[in-house]
Amino acid sequence: MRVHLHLLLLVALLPTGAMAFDLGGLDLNKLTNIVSKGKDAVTTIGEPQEIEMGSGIASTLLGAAPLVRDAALQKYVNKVGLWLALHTERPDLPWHFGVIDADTINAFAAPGGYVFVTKGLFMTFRDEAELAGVLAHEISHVLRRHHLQAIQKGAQMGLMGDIAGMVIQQKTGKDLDAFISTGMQLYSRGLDKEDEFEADRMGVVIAARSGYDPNGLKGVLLTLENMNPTDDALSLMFKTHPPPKDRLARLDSLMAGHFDGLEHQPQVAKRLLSMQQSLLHARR
Amino acid sequence: MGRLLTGLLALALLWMPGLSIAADTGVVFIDTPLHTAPLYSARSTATVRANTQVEVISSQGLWLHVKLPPPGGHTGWVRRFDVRLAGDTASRPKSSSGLGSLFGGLFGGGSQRKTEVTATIGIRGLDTEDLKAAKPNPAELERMKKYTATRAQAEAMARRARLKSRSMDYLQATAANTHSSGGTTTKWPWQN
Repeated sequence: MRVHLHLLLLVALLPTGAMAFDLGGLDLNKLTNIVSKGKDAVTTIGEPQEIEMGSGIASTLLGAAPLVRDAALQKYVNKVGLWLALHTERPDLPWHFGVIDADTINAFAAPGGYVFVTKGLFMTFRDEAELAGVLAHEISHVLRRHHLQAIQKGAQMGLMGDIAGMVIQQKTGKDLDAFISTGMQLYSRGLDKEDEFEADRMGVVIAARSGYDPNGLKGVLLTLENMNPTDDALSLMFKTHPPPKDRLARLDSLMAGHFDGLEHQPQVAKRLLSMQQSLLHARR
Repeated sequence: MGRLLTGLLALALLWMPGLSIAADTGVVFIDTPLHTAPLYSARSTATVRANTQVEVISSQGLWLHVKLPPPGGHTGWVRRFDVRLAGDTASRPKSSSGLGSLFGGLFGGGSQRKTEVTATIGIRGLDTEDLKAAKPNPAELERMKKYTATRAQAEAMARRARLKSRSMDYLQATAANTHSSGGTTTKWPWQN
């Protein structure tokens, strides 16, 4: 099982063209041939492997910022998040949602069903539909395997050193480390802008399917647009995402005519606001 | 005795970032709403006009608790980045230098030091450096998994808010976008 995973990881990171490499006696030509049989290397990463990689990345994200110590809050975002995930093509992933203890404004997804929102972002929401909009955007990154694709693309663009390292580390059982550190870099560099736009247009649909006012995500983007972009609390998020103005413009034109009447779906303010109140009064 | 007390106060402040901080002043540089709580959703009771000098009572997360000048003398919360704090020499307002001056009054030292102090205790950040330095925290991951919701719990939560499922295809990207959003008419799992 372990060896199987090594091979899959290795194969997924390789350029699809056949090349002659001699790395630790592995016949890479043979491996790349396996890949070329699949229509997309990402699809050769099975769901169990995707979840294992995601767990490693999620664990490292939690190493950067732990969960807010509020069980009711964490349980609440897991219910909202799972309700949304049930309205997607991957309802049976082990979905986990968490609010992490950082005042900066951001949200993250990791492969296999992990979604994080910072406390700073959570405190900007005006209702549950806004929370749902953000969670659905992050869920979409997982659905479309955006992070796995970006890691693979990075490998194709010249991170062969990392792959060689993985081959060596195979012997010590630390093969996932290289994958995780490459994955972690994505949170500083950001995904492809088109992936962000795609997550936006999928997110509003998932929120609408789940019965929420689909304009929640737009509400959050408006809040962000009205913030000072030079603020430290926003710098990483602004660096890794297209400007809110552009995201709003795209959503406006795409959504026109498709969501008529759905703005009357519930926004559900009360229970979100009470979660914020208890966070405000929490004393660490 | 006095020194001990000061030391204890400083220590207490280090341990309680974002809680009450000694008063400082600042100038609101853009019209901004005065909220009743440090939340966007909180009611706003007034608009603080640009160039109003305010007294800063405390800070919490991205917000400052401020007192307006007489005759009104109202108190309320404004977004931190709408206020240029006294001693902030940066031409463009930045949150860290702003709060730096807040702590600078307590700890003294040059402006560079103020910023450093703020970077560690002003707001709990999560930036590129934090991500780069992060080490796995498996115990925290296990904690996260404990909060996982069951399908029944998610459905009950949705019922309480009268959220009703509906089917809807993904939006297709415009011609300008090369990616497909995987629009489909398959039956969704909740459609029995």
